Amino acid sequence: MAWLGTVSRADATGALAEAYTAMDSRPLPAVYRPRHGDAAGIIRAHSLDPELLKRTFPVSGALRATGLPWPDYELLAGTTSRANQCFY
Amino acid sequence: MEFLRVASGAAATSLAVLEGDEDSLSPRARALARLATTLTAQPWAVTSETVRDAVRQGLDADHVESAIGVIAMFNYFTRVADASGIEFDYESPLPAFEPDRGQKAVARPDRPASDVRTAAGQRRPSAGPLRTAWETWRAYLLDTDEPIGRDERRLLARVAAEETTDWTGAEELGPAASGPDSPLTAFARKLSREPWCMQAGDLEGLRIAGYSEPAILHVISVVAHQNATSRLALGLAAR
Repeated sequence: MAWLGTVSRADATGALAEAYTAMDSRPLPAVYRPRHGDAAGIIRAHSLDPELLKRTFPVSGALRATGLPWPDYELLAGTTSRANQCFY
Repeated sequence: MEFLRVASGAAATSLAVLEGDEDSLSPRARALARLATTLTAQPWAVTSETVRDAVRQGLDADHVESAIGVIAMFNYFTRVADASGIEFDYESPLPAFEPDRGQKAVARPDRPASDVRTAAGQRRPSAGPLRTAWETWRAYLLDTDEPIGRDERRLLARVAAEETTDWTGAEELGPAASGPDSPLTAFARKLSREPWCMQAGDLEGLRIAGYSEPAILHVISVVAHQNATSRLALGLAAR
């Protein structure tokens, strides 16, 4: 259970439910969709403010759309996470 | 590293990154990994030569800008993950990553008498969707009055910029905090410098200080965002 309050997809209503639906419609590789069926933890971490969710994730969408090869994107992400001693 | 395993089509690169074994990476992957590690752990040490290493491996100017953006963005995501206490979502055949919570942050250099290099360089992405998305995100985090005020936002961001040694960015955010750290600035400093040391008790300290749950989300996000923005600025200026 996260330390910060979060709202699951099942409990989401209104603007948050709409934000979750919009995020689900992003064209992402299947590997990004957790098997537990809820929104990924990093998305749920923003769930107390749907507007923040809507402002944050388009940045990673814009980065994906730049043409940087996917393996390079993931290598940079993974190396950054490791340098920060983070599982994410 | 599961996404890297799938994206690269093999486990070898993921395992090398997982183990911090840069020597086992291809020259291209090694150049990117060094850029990511340096910009993350020692942003003040990124130079034009660090960037040129990536260019020599075939990255064009647009890809270099994107690479710096990805590194910056993951300095946001990792801090949000560490501060919020979320759990890992994905199954993977790779060994689980065990964070070294005893890792020490690299000592920050003193502020130079002048910061000509980063002040003069291009500190923002080129005009286009990335710049628009980044600035829309930033405007919401710095120029909103609820659930924390603008002065608090700028104070948090200023601490994060200082911890990143982004002196130009820090100056743009307003005056530095005076006196000993408050609960707010202490939180910003810890999350900026040693995010892997964050604990549930760090959030409890903010609750005791009167911050609501949505306010704590904004505190975390402002600090993490400035860590990303300052690294973006320092990386882009180094090109």
